[in-house]
This record gives sequence, C-alpha cells and structure tokens, in this order.
Amino acid sequence: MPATGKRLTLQRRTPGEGPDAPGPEVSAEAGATRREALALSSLGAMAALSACGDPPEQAVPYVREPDGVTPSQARFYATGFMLSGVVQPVLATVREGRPVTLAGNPDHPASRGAADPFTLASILGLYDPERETAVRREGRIVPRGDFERMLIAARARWAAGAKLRILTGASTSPTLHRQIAALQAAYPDAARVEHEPAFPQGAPAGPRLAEARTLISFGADPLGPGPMQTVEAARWADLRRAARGAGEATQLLVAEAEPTLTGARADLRLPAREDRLEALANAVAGGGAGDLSALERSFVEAARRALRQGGAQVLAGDGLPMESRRRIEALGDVTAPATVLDYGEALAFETLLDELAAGEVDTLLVLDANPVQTAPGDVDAADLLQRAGQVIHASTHRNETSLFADWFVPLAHPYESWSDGQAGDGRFVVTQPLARPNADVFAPHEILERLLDQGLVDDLSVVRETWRARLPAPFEPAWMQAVHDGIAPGAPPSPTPNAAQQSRAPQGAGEGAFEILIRPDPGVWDGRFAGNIWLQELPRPLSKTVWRNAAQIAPADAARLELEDGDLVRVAAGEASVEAPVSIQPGLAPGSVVVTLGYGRRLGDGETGGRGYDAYALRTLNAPWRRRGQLEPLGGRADLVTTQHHHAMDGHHFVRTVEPGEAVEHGLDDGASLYPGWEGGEYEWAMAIDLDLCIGCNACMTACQIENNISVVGEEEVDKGREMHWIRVDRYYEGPDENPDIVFQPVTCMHCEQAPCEMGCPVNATVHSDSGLNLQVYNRCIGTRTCQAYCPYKVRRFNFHDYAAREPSQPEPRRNPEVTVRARGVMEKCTYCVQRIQAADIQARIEDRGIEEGEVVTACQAACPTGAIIFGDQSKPQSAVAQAKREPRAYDLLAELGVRPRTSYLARVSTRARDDGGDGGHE
Amino acid sequence: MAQIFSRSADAWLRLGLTALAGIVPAALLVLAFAAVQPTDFSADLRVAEQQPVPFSHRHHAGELGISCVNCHVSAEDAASAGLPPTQTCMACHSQIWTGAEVLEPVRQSLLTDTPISWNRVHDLPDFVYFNHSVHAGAGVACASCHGDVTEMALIQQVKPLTMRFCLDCHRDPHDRLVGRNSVYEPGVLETGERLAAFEAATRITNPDALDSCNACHR
Repeated sequence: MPATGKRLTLQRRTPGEGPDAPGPEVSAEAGATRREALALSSLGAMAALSACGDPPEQAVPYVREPDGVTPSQARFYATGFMLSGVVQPVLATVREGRPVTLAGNPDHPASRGAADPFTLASILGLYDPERETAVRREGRIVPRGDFERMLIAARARWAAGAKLRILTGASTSPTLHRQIAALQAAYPDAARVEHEPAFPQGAPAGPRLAEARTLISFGADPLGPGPMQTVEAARWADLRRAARGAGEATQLLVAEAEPTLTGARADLRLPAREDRLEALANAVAGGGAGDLSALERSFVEAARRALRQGGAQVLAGDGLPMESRRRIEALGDVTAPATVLDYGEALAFETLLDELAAGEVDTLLVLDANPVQTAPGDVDAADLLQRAGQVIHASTHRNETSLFADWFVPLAHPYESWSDGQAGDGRFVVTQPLARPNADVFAPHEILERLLDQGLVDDLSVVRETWRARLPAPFEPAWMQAVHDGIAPGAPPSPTPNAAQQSRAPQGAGEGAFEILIRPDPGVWDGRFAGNIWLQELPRPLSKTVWRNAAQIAPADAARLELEDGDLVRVAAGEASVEAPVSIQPGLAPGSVVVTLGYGRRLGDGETGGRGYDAYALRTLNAPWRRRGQLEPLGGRADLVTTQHHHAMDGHHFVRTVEPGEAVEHGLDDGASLYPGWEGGEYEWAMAIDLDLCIGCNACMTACQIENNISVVGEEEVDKGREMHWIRVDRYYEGPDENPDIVFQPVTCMHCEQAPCEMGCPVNATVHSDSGLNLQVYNRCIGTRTCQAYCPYKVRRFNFHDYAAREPSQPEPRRNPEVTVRARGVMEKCTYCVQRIQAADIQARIEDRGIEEGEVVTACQAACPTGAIIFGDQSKPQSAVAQAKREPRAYDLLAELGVRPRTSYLARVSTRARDDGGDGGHE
Repeated sequence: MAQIFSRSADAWLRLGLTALAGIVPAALLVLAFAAVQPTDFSADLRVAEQQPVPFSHRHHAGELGISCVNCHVSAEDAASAGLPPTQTCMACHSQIWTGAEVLEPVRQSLLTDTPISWNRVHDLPDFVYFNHSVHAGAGVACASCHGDVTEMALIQQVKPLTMRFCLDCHRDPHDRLVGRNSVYEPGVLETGERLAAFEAATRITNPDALDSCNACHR
C-alpha cells in the first residue's frame, strides 16, 4: 500500500497485523465506539451528498487509433450471409468497430441494396448473449488441448480407413468444397453429408423466374420467403415495370393449396389441394378434364389460353414429385434460367442414417446443424448419434444435438469469420468478418482444416488459398478488390446435379381426410432464427401471427369442425401427432392443413422457439412436404396473437386496384381545407409506395426495426396491441373467404401537412419541420397519447414499459447510435429516417450545395426487393417521388379526411377486374 | 375558562397570510429567474474537473499556439471532433518531457495498451445530436461554445450549452459567425472576422431549417 495519507480503520491495530489484513468486524470491543462509527458513516453520507448529480461521463479515446477509423463516423463493409446455402450479399455499417446495421450490397446484382428479413435480422445473432464459448466434452468444459489430442488419435484412425462423416447444411462455398475434397484425398473414407431442413430435396439451383409475360404456377412460390426471395422478387418487379411501361401487365395464374406471397399477386388464383395439382396440370396439358369442378375448369381454360398466347412460363412447387415437376414445367414455352448454383458433392442424409444405424461411422462432425431437432419425425436421430464412434458438434449455441454429442466445439458467428459462396444469381461473394470474435471460438473452415492437421491455419488463409487459384493474377490486388466489392469474379463451374436432389420421390404418405402441408416458417425459417427476437415479433406475411406457429385450416373446414382462431387441435399423420392452435386462413384449399417448422424446440424457452409445436415430428424421410392425416379438435384454447384482427376493407378504398392503363378516380387529397395551406421550405420530403410492386415480404419492417432501434415487446404485449413497429404491412382479404383477393399495404407515418396529431398535442411535442416532416420530440413528450388517438392512420406507437431496457438479447452495442433510444412513456413513430436526411443535409452544407436526388434513401426503401418504396423531394419536379405522384395511379390513403398526407400510394394493377366481366373490382 | 386565542391572534394571522402571499410569488419569481438566467453555480459552469493527467490547454493552445485540429483532428469531417488517442500525445512526448512525472499515466497507457479515461467536460444530453463538422464548416468558432481555452489550465465548461444557448445562435446566426479560416482562432470572438454577407459564404437560404427540432433531435 502506498503511503498516501492516513487510513481510517474501525479496528484498533494489533501488533504484527498489516492494514490490509482481511475481515475486521465493527465492534465496540475492537476499538471504534458506536458514536465513532455513526460519526464516520454520517461523514460518508455527507461526502456522497456533496456531489449532487451524476459523476461525469467518461470519455475514452483510443490508445492507437486504427487506420482509417474516425470516431463517430460509420464505415461500410461488403460481406454476405449464407441462408440455406445461398449467400445474401450485404453491406454492413460498422461504428467504432461494432457492426450496427445491415443492408443489401447495392453493388451486387443479386441484391441491389435489398435484402430479405432473415438476412437483415441476422446481425442480431452476433450479439446473442447465449452463444457458447467453451470446448466441452460430454457437457463439461475441458481445455482446448484435450480436443486437439483427440484429433491426433482420430486422424490416425481416419487415415487407416475409419469412416469420417461431416454433416452440414447446403452450401455453395467453394472453400468448403475444396476442403472436403482435400479431406477425401487424405482419408480413404471421408465424405460430406448434406442436411438442409428447409430444402430436404435439394436447395434451389438458381433463380426460377424467366422473362415471361405470363407465369403459371402449380404450387410454386418464387416470391415467398427464403434464400431466393430477393433475387426472384427483383426479377418479377423488373418484368412488371417493363410491362407497365408498355401499358400492359404481366399475368400470373396460380393454383396452390395455401395462399403464398406469389399467390397473393395472382391475377387468377385457384385454391386446390396439393394432391390435385398434378391432375390440374394434366388437364392443362390436354389430358382428360373429366372430374374437374367448375372453378378448376375455368382455371384450366385460362391457363390453356395463356399457353396458346405464348410467352408463358410454368413452374411447379417443391411438394410435387420430381418427375411431375419436370413434366409440368415443360408445358411452358419459356423455361427457367440455367442452373447456376453449385452445392458440391454430398451424400444424402438417408445414407448417413443407414451408416449410423449399421454402426459404421467412426467420427461424425456435425458442423452448424441440429439434426436431433430437424430430422424428420420417423428418424430417431438421438439414438443414431449414439451409435457413431464419436460425435463432434460444432455450433454457435448448445442445442438439442449437443446433448448427444461427445464433443462440443464453439463456432464463430458468420460475421466473425471468413468464408465465401454464391449469391442467388450465381455470382461469387467472399464474405469477410465484421468483428473479431469476443471469445476464443472456431471458424467453420478452421475446424475442417484441423481435421486435416495442417498446423494452426486460420480461416483467412484457407479462404485465400481457394481464391488464389480462382482470381486473375496478380493475386493481391484482385483479392483486395473482391473482398472490398463483395463480388468475386469468376463464372460458376458447370454444377454437378446434387446427389440429394435426385434420390427421393416424395409421396403423400399415410391415410386420412386431410392433407398436411409442412412448410418452413416465414418467421424462424427451419428454426435457426428461433432465438432472434426481431423475427419472432415480425408478423407472418399472411396470418400476421407472432411468436409461435399455428396450424392453418380453411374457412370451410373451420366451419364444419366448429373451430375458431386459437382453438387447439391435434394434427395427426400416421403415428405422429402435434397439438396446435388453429389459424383460419382464407384462401386455403379445403382439406389442407398447413403446419410450419422451427418451433416447439425441446430445449428452447419462450424466447428461443420453445413456444408452439414441433412440425418436424410430422415429417418423414419420404414425405418431407406433404402427408395425409387427421384433424381432431381438442376443446382447449391457446393464445394465438396477431397484429391485425380485421381482414376486410368493409367498403373502404384502402387498397385500390385499377386495370392496366386506367387512372384512379378522386385519388389525391386536394379538397378545400379550413386550415391555411402549408408553405414549403427548401425541401419537401415525400414518399410513394407502389402497391403494384409490393409483395408483402416484410423486408421494410425488419430494416426499419434495425435502423431505428425499435424495441421488441414480447407476445403478451403484442396481444395488448402494443407492438412498436414504425412501418406495418397491412393485409386485406377482399371477396369470398374461400378465395379472396389478398392485398398488402405498407403503412408508415404519412407526415400529413395538416397533421391531426399536431393539433392534439398539449405540449407541442409533435411539430412540423420546414421540410414537411412531422417530427416527434421525445424529450418533450409527456405521454398523454392524444396524438395517437387523433391519428387516422394509427401509426403512432407508445412505449408503455421501458421496452428498450427489457430486451436481454438486444444489448446496447447493437443499437444504431444515430437514433435516440426511446424511454418509457414516450410516443414514437416513423421519422422518414430523419437521421439519414440530416446526414445528407450536413454533408450538403459542408460542400455548399443542396441535397441531390437519391442522396437520402430510407431504410425501408433500401431493403425493398421490388423497389416499391420511393422517397425524395417532391418539390423537384424531376424527382422520382414527384413523378410517382403525378402518375394516374397515385392516390392518398383516406384522402377524404383532408389531412394532406405526404405518403401516397400507387394503385395495384390487375387484369382480374377485366376477367370478372369488368364489374369493377373494388373501385 | 381562559381564552384560547389571544387578542392579537387575528392580527398575527392576517400578517402571516399577507407575508405568505408576498413570499410565495417572490420565491417562484426567483426560481423562474434562475431557470431562465442560470448562474454559473447552478449551471455547473467554470468547474475544472480533475483529470487523470492535468492537461493544460493554456500551455498547449495558448503558450505554444498549437491549433485545435492538431489534436481534435476530425472537427472538420465528423460529428465528433475527436479526443486525441494516446499516440497523439506521445508523438511529441516521446521526444520532450520524456521523464515528467505528470506524464506517467500517458506513458503507462501506451505501454499497457490501456486507454486514458478522461472526465467528460462538455457533455450534451443523449437525445441531442451535435455535429462538429457542419458547425466548423459554417463558420462557428470553436470558442463560441468552448470559450477561450487558451486561458484554461484545466479545461472547463464556460458556456451553458443549453437548448436556449443553441437556439440563440440557430435563430440568428449572422452576427455570431466568423470566416471559415478563423474558426480555430482561440481568442475571444470580438476579434474575429464577422461575416455580414453570411448567406454568400454558407448555404442557409432558409433560416427556418435551423430551428426545426430535427436539426438536433432525431
């Protein structure tokens, strides 16, 4: 102890005892009297009082400033996120070393700045506090050296011919393929096994939409959620725009069981059980049209007519057997683009199961997969794993599979490691890490390299080694360019058809009145996003349910079985059954039940997929998509929470539909007002949302959530209507429940020029800016909620509890530092991404110029794969938004109120009105 | 039975009530005045916070004449002016005053790769977004908000940095700006070059834009 001043102790010092001796207890005997103790404690209290207010905040500069880093300035890194084998190109915003937000990579043609909700939300996984960081043997933490020693012994066995199997998901990574080839060269019996729960019959081989004026789909859902959504939606939107330019509209005919995002955009949609689709396709092909119903016949005739006109593409869904798919898709005269994605050689999952059952496998490395949870219900994966010599489970989290593995190895998050792969259009991406791992974890490529014993090789060297052979010389500049741009040159090699893809023919296994359709969940996919609270609270595109899965049934079946939303049923197929709440889905074919994967996790709690039921139980190896079974009402009820309780527009014109070339009548709000007109400032920020391009994919909602630090409130709070999303996607059903028109409408704050909320606020906390923004001043708001009551669009969100402080899995470092984190008792709403407007404004002022068109891109606009959201300065006649508002399709939502909304909509274009005999649709 | 109230009780009560009627508004008036025109004490101004290293702006910026941007390098380019990393200190102090005892924490910081943790002096609320680059670019002198640091042995806050302080300038910037080249002159503002033709030098065609809430709050 340094000799600085006196040290007060409460104990009389005894000889031979230092001042730092532990544990003196306060007692009168030992020295200090009660009086002295009191005096000292009051002195302490005085000392604490003398500094009123908080101690000063600490300002901590770098010791050595990293090259190119300026505190408070964002840096951008191009990388990618692999979703079910396909890399989604992303551009990450990194602040002071922390990746905070994601967007699509604008330079990559497969993204053009857009991204799907899964990709956008993937950044949250990087901050997941539940990630595992220790090497474990049979559940106990062991030193890393133990794992290395085990490998030394194992390598000798593998070299002598013992079976080494590596179980992974689908992957287009050339580095992974190269490493597997190297392992196969080194060990006589090494192989990779592919197990992709979302694509049990092989992941998509490339984009499927071709340049066709007419698309006829039998159960295919190219616009639906998944790794190809961004690419396909962009293609579809391009076609749609081109046709509109010619005064026409593309035509989409869809026959499907459950309404999909593709079906929602159909001009003619036929709800048909999936087991009817083949017969329908046969009828379209000219086969016997004997037992068709009237509805089916009219669909067949329309499809035939479209085929006769030419320029039609026909797609078939994954649920149909491979041979029928080929036959059906050959009907169109436009065929799908060539295969571009290469998933490499891999054994089928069944082969591994057979080998495990025979006890042949020496070592099974499960690399970032969870077969115990995601294997079909007729496979006892836990038991089979026990029959392997040893199982090594490498994963970011300990999950169901870890319980049955001998070794657990912590894996780095994709944003902490190097890898590569193909984007949806076939172009390669080298994915770079955005942050150094917090703990000593393994990168996936590093583990594979350790199996080979090449010394201590890091993942960067492994990936560079792959690209050394692929990039043009000289290597270094080409490598730097590829990493920097997020696009690596090189055409994909002609792919070998995936072994897994050919091996199986799905069958509608089992008996029963219902067909049970098993689908990946649009929120948690195959279950891998179950711990992602953003995706959990993202309303599913059609059912708008959150936080759990339901069994969707047709309205007719619900009426027959006397079921309501939330009633519990048992869905049984063969031996397997699950108990699920029903969700009545208009447009679902009677006799079909849709169950979704990814919930009901055995180890999950409420926030990590423990809610809901496990639909994997209903799957079998031979029937991964469709089974026949029973539906049995159980009598009980479960909480099924949705964000939209009404389904119909009830005579209102929220979403308008016009025929190609037709104008909207009385669209824009230009009536008389008692209030004085609004005087524009230097800019007039405005938005237009093209409902003809919106596919309801929710990318805008996720992008907004990330950009604007929007809190997740939890299932119980959503049930009270307290979700916080600043942009929502409304979904309406128009027409009969059996087969309604399904329309989507993203709704944000309209930034009304005559904003009712501003008239209601007693403390001036919501005011107008000179450039037409309806501002919400959080530090002024006292939470009367008057503005919310006055808002005709219901876009204002009130923070009832301190939601931001209650999010364990969204720690502070993730939050966007450009946006205030709102406190309890404060109203909040869409700001048109005012932080981005301010950033552009500041840059423009420094450069002595005005803000240019295209300089401000809102988060929702950037994320939209179809470019449906247009934002800009409407005072400039040449700006995209001003042009959009001059279109004859432009209309204002609730124009009759006279609030002069700054956000306008462009009506949907549909030929359906014409087909109906021109009786007008919804106008 | 004796009287409970004395003869003068009524008078005392009346006197008391009158005094109360005078004192309460007077106290409120004083409080209101203090809120509008805070004293240095109530606004916590001119308090020299103890720092891990007694860095003297008077010595470095005043006596030696080192420019602000020499250490606060990003004042012209970024929201944050930048607090100099240890490396910046050691750029000079690896050559001069190499053995000085006051510099021991700086040397330790570099040796042990541990940042120096300073007590923040100019601290805005978290819901305020202040951007140095746009202010420096528009001709707001550093001294306008930070005072004359060449006179400060230990840095202290001399301007209130309240919303009113910001708005005074945002509503009427013309007389408070200096030429872009004089922004870093540490002396008091009166000696700076005032720009009469403010619009010509900076791009403020619409002064209303400056006092919209979104200028600082987002």
